[in-house]
Amino acid sequence: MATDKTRFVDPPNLLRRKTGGGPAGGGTIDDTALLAAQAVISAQAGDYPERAAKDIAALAEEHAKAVRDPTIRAEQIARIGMVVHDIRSEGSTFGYPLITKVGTSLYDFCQYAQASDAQIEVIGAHIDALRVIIGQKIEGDGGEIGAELLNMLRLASNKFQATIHK
Amino acid sequence: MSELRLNYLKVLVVDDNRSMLFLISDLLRALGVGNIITATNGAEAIQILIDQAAAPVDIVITDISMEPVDGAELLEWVRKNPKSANRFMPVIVLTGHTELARIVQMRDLGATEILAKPVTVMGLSNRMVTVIDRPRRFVEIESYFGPDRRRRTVPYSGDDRRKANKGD
Repeated sequence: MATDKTRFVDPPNLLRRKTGGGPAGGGTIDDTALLAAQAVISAQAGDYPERAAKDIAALAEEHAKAVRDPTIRAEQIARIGMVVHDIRSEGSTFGYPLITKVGTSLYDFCQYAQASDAQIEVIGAHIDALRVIIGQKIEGDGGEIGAELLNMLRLASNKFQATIHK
Repeated sequence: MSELRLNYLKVLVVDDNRSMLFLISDLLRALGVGNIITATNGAEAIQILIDQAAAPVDIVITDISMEPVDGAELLEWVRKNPKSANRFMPVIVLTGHTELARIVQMRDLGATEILAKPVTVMGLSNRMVTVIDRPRRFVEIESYFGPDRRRRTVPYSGDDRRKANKGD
């Protein structure tokens, strides 16, 4: 049995009362509201490629600074990780799961504290892939092009990891 | 089955990414939430929770990575600070960080639900329904205060050796 130091509390469910819910476990949100919420996503999806292109341009700018000045690479890579974290968070919501996949790959890659030429090069390849996806408006999984992009990035990442594990 | 009416709810959404903040707010509005307040970091959110203590916020939806006060600190404040108007308040943690360690950290600070980005309508609406309609009981021990972290009830015939140890 749990010791006497453990206290279990069942607070009164004021939210169920406030929302007019019936017996516990039977609550739902009506279909009309769900459709309205889906319409919000559809409406914002129209602007998404333009917004994403701006974010990716900002990413490319941070990368260019790291290429130009090796002394600030570590900070720039951390900065790229932060920017791409927001980019990857939105892709799938608006029908661009490849943005989320490539963005996640780039985010993970930025966690290596190497700041080497090889790392900068692979980061650049990720940014190029993001540009292609948004530039060509590759929705969904991107079919053959999508598979090819992901494979190219996987190979580049593996090659980099092989160098740091030597 | 009963349809929940969300129009009397007051929900605080916290995220430093403004487009995400607007998206979540618009989705909640479409789902019928009547009162939506936004903040761009944990410090702003805490101030709002203090200022609105007389008519408290019902649900907090928060991102994790923010400055100067992040979502983990906000969650800890809600659960532990004497100024918190409702220590039992449902807190849905919204995050693109789906690494296990990060999720465990938020769970151990008392998160009610985790909602992974990218956000979907079903993901958000399911979490809302869960915190309103199927809340978990709270557990208080020396090292933890928050919703019961054991979600499943499984048959067990041996002694219950659950202890309120530090590592619990």
